[in-house]
Amino acid sequence: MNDFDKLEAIPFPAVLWRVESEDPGDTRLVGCNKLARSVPGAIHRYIGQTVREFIPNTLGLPREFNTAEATLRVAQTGEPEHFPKVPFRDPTSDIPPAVFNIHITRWEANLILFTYEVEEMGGISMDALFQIERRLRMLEHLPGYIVVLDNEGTITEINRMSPAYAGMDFVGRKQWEMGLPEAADRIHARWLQFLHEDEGDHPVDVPGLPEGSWYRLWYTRLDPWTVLCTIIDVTDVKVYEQELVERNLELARSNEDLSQFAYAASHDLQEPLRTITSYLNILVEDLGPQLSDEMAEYIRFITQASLRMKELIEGLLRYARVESQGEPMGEVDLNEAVTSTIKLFRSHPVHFEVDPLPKVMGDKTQIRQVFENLINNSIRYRKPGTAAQVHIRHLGTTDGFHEFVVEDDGIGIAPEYHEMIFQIFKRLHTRQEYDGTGIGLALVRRIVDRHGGRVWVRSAEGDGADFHFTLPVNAFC
Amino acid sequence: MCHVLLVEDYLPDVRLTQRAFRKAESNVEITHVLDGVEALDFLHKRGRYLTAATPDFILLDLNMPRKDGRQVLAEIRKDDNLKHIPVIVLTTSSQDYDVREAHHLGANAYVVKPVKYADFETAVSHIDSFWTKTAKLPKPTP
Repeated sequence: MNDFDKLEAIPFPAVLWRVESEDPGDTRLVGCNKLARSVPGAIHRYIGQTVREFIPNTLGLPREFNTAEATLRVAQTGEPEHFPKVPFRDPTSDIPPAVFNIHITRWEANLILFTYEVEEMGGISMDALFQIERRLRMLEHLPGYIVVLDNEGTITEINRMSPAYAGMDFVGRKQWEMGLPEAADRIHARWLQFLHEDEGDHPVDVPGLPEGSWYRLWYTRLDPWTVLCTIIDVTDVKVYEQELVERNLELARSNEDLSQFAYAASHDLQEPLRTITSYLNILVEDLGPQLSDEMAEYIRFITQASLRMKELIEGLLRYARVESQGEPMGEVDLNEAVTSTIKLFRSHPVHFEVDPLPKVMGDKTQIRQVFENLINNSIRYRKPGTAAQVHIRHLGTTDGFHEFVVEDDGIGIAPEYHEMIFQIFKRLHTRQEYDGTGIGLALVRRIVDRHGGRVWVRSAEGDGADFHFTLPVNAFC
Repeated sequence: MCHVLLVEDYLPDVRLTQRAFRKAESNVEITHVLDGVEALDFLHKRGRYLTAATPDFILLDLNMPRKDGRQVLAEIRKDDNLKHIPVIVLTTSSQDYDVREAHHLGANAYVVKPVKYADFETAVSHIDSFWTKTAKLPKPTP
């Protein structure tokens, strides 16, 4: 490597002088690296001159900036010299002014090296410049496209591109020509909308290359003349979205199938059951006096089993009908709904306390059913020998849903069963203790589900149960 | 004496209906056919029903093999010789669209078979008293 190659390897502007005789004034400027050509003052123009010839250019410079005189000293003594923060400016060119830390050292036997360590460039400190540089690198390495546009939509700058666009020069072209033809219209439409109607940064998603790819693109105004267009690859997002849509459709379909199935099954089950119970009746009617006690008991067992099956089937039918035969949602005044539901329990061992209730959005019949089933539960599972105390309250409104609670003072439910009780046909008690079909709470959950709400219970065994549920706020009230 | 055509494919319900009429001490004479094809043969006096008499009213099940009640009803209402006959649908279906369709096709009444036997007897006795005593039935066209 010769001296000039070494010079190029220095990461600062650098110039090289050669001591040519005993007279330090004969020391000659022999070369500079490329970086030095961008230093204000264009020192490369003086290559070939001796210090003696150069010194007239530096007359009048204060001593602390006069590096030409220092060259003479270094040529004589070989002692390095340092000039901190020497300002340079060049009114004859558009090179920005700069401040350098200049180091002058002997380099090998007859060479003197000047290095211009940049302290400030264009009024910006190197720290700030480094930070800007770092930010620029971050942008360059972003796994997306950053495109700078003028107000015509022409690309003026672009960051490092993804492989799909490698090697293609887009600067100078309209940005909607970057992608697929079918995407161009949508990008252009969004661009015009951005420009003329709304400078919000709503993204637009467009198909791209390779086939099946999707890109999300949005605009941000940088200044009155330029707009930043950011483009990221959203193929994965789109694939997941599509999968989600398909899975939801499938789910809806299978739910619908299940509803239809439950409805058909329970309806068809009713018919043989009707025959069984009818003919049992006929047998008892016709044979009545001839039946032995034993046979009468057997027939009673069959009759009871059939009745139970009938209840279960009817429950299943009601459960299936929540979805398949629901009525459209409308405004429901809960004060009315609860008052009319309570009337059903006039002859039951129950006392009510009802706070003022709001209007909700829902299916009136089904919402009444919710209150009816919860009240039924409170009565069925009251403490033995007492009347049930039921308190119905509105707890508040969050995220578009009213929360309600039906509180009782009954036998309560142990926490481990708080989820199980909402499953269809699940019961916590034998039929000898408490009758019931295991449909009531399952129906409540299904109805609340259909309304987009939630139902849960807070209770401790022996200490009453609070059934909470949410129903949508009526948006039109 | 009132002549009723009972169109019903399910034998237990045929017996149940016959028994309920009997228990209502009704004065009807019931002819029973097992499906829609037979019902129309009977009404048109075809095949083995050459000597059949036109019934005073019809009790018609909806869901039957071969030809269901809806088709039978539609054909009866299209036929000038039969369209005057009152048709009472007696079925297990309580679906609203079945009720609507039956009336749309020209049913005179729609009765859901009650699940409980006692209720079934009551329903039949209502049918009997209304259609044989209360209502004045049309005479067949000569």
